[in-house]
Amino acid sequence: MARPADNGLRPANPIRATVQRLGYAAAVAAAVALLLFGKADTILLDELRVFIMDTASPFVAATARPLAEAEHFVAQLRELAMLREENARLREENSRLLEWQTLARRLDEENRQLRQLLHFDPAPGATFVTARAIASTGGPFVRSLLIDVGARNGVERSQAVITGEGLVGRIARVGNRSARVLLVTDATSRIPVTVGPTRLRAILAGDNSGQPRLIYMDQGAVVHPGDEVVTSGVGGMFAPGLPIGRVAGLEGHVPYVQPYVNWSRIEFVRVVDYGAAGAGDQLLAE
Amino acid sequence: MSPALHAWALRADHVLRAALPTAIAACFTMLSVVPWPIPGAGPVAPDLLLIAVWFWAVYRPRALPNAAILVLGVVEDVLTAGPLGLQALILLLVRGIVPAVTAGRRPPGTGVAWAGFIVTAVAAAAVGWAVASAYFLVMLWPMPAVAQVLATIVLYVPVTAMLGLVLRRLPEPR
Repeated sequence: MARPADNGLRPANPIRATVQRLGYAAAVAAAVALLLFGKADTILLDELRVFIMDTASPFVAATARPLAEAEHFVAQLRELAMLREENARLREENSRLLEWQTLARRLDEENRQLRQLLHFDPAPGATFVTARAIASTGGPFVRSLLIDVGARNGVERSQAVITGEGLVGRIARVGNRSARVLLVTDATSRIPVTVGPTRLRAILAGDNSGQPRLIYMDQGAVVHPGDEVVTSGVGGMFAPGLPIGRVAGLEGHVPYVQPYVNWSRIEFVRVVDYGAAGAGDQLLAE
Repeated sequence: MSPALHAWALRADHVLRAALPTAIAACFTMLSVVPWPIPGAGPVAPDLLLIAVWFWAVYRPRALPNAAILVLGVVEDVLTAGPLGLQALILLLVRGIVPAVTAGRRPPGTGVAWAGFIVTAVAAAAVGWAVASAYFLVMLWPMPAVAQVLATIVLYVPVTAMLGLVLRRLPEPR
């Protein structure tokens, strides 16, 4: 016969029972204290977070690698099955991109000549740090990404993080060898943007779903599905013109945006430093 | 083998086996923060640590120490960027409430245990979602939490089957 469950709260030895109850109460009290004081973002707790993030990131990377490899393998099998279609699509895309290249060269030359005419002083060029996405840590409450570069690579808080497709998010916390990226889809993410050819100003507000909303638009402003959403550069947090996505539709009167980035397939990202890191923090502080 | 060496080996074997639940829970913490690419559902990270804490709370509460639950919960909070202490508190509440309910009873069979876990997982997710919404001062989109609960409930059976093998190899409680 199975014996009764060994109840950890009531061991036979009364002294041990008391010690265990006190230990349990202390652990619960510590968790409650962290929850209450964590919101205050004290330096001590911030350092604790960074320490844990830096220490655990190699282990998380080691855990994530086999899963990523398995996903990669499945994706490769899928691509093999569709090789002919993929080839035709790439040929078509290539010819389209060559047309764009010609246009870009022409515009670049025109731009250079106009700048010369205006004696325009260009802003300092941006520098990039390339990082591997360790894991798009999948907590149910926060949309974020852990990357394998940190303060030792020159990464600073508030820097923009991009892929070839578009804006991923911004650096929210920096460790020595790891950093956390807050995605544009996170519920606390607010990014000043311009929408469509008329460059309407709005704020892109995440809500943890895959499609962030456009809020604080001018009264009577009209946006259409397909309108491109790019960073406006207001507030100095991001360089202007970083592509984010397209307006996908309206929910009531609120437009929602389909980002260009494929969240389930982020392997490498680039952290952009255009010399204005921290400007967003300063703005928020003011 | 000399008697002293034999005693030492026995002691080491005892300590290592007693540390197994904590070591496995630590591995589960790492797995819990890495989303699994589930076709059709996008990246979802099942909360394996919750399964481990619940399993040990039912079958051998003292196998996983409170301090380990606190530390691993905080690590999970940091890695998922959730409210610091929230996951640790939920796991500790599970650790405290479950043995109080099962006290003096025979260990439940797989079906009853699974039903109990489903109630626990849904309650834990609901509390987590409510506290996180209050913490961030926004009504969080609930779908990621719902997807996580479903994935966790589905993985309960294979994960607890594996933990059952570990349970049989643990030293008897004193």
